[in-house]
Amino acid sequence: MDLSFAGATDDGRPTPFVVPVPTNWSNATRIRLVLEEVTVPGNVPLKLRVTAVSQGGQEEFVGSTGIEALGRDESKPHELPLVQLDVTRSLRRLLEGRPEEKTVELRIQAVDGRNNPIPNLKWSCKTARLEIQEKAKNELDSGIL
Amino acid sequence: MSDHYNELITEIISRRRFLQQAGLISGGLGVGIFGSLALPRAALAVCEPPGSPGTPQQWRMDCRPIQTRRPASTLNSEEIQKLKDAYQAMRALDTSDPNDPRGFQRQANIHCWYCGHGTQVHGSWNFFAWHRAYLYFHERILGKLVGDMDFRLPYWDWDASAHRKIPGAYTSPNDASNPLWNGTRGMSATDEVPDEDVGQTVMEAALTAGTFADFGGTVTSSGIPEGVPHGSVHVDVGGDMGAFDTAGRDPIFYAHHSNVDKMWSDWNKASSTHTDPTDSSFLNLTWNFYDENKVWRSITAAQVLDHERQLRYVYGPSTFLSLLPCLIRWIDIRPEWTFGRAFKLTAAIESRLVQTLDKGGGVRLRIRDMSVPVDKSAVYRIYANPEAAGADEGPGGNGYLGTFAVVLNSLSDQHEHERGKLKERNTRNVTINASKPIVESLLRTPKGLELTYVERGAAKGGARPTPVKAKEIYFSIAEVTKEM
Repeated sequence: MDLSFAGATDDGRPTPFVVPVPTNWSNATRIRLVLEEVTVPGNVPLKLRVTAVSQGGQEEFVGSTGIEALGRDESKPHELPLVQLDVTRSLRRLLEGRPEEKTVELRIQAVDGRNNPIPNLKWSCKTARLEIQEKAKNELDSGIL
Repeated sequence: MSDHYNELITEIISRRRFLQQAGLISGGLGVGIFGSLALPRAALAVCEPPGSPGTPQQWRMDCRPIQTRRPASTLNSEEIQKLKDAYQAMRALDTSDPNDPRGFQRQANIHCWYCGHGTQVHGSWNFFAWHRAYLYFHERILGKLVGDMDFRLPYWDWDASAHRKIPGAYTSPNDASNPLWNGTRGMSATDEVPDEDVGQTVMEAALTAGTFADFGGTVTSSGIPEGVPHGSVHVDVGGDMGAFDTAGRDPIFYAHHSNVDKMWSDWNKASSTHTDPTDSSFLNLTWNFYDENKVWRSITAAQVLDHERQLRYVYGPSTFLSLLPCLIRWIDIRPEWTFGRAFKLTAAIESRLVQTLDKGGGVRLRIRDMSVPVDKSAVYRIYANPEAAGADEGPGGNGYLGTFAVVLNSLSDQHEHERGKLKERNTRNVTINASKPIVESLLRTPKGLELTYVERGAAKGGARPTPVKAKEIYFSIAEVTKEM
């Protein structure tokens, strides 16, 4: 299930968005955050850093991925049809205490190489979703609970 | 941005404008003519195609001795000097013969051209194979320039926690007298690549990716490691390294990509199922590079897959790979258990489970061929004993171990079942990922484990908990440290 959003913050704050938790996440060998149609400035190298709020109210790191700039003088935007992050460990940890959660709020922030928020940077993403990778066929019925 | 850089860009733009006015910069004709021009020095900074040197010669079988690419941090002073001499000689060609395709700037422009301006090898299954080929020819050129064809590139092993800084050879001296230095870096000599970009979680995700599509991408998408750790390290170093068109201008690029290449090699080694694509559309991917003798050569993806046999290099030992089997190999522990009796753990097993979790490993409780009801689609919860199942406190509650679902294929299946015709299998293999609270809950059961399941929420309505019946119940553990 997709949840479309046009994330575009230019003040450096994280973009919050809510994605459905795949029903069978605990049976998956992999959990991925899939961002589609990501657009970032073509002249700024950046990382998209994802966090979530734990049950205890603490901000927890979920994953991060680097995007090189096209060129330092590039005026065109850098359009990425698909950006994927492996969030298996972090999401398992996050959901372990609340296995029946239907959705999870993730926050994505564009940061620089030192993980500092980049102010006045506009970026967007058309859809974001969590995707799971099932076990091989011969393991299909041995779900990891 | 430096004044020198601005001047260069101005010159480039002027030259581009001139070429555009002359109608030479777009289309194959423009490329061909431009490729045969004698380039002024400023044009070296332009991201242009490598020229039109005619039909490339096939890559020829490499018969040099197999040598080891080693971590940059382990090079001795003599080896560091040779590395610096090689890059010094490469940089010198930029001045002495700007047309020499082996010059440093021309080498950097290869990345620029293949990474957006001419074509794009990022974001697809070209990524690992193209960069391996690029580094291979780059390495041969460096070797030729120092008269040592046994020269091999070092790699920056940022995945080792002690080596998160840019290797010393590339920052000392930290000025233009060092041919491995680059003044545009955002990362100082004392900064470190953040753990979240290259640490164990990232490397484990990369090296345990199940298929090449996940690891190295497909025709239209990248594998996960291309973003992190690869892309993140580019961003972390910053400056020239942060952008496709300039990344090759920083010598650390080649040490970084050598480690990225090693990651591909390690992924291949991590499992017999980690195989490269066999599709001819992948194997026949073809790219052209100048070799150390300025011969224009073509090489295919198929020709770079076996780096040891074909390209004559191997990598030093992998810190992470030596740990990996312990992370992914699950060892079964079978306590004495008889059908219908409580499942008791010995002190030795209890201690091993706790120690495994304390050291960051994993514990799973496995139930083989567990009988399950198949009269309807429903969700069931498993508890450590009947009392806990009766209370049915759910996740986090007393004795709760996990949840499993029985999903009939369709309503018609359910009706079939009611008519007694359903051939639905009534056993399941169930695996419970046993976190620390779950293991502690298991250990707190004095009478031993009497695994019991109950339909979710139904116990409160009077439904009876059902004892688990299975062929076998046992634990699997994955220890992070070496085997005991």
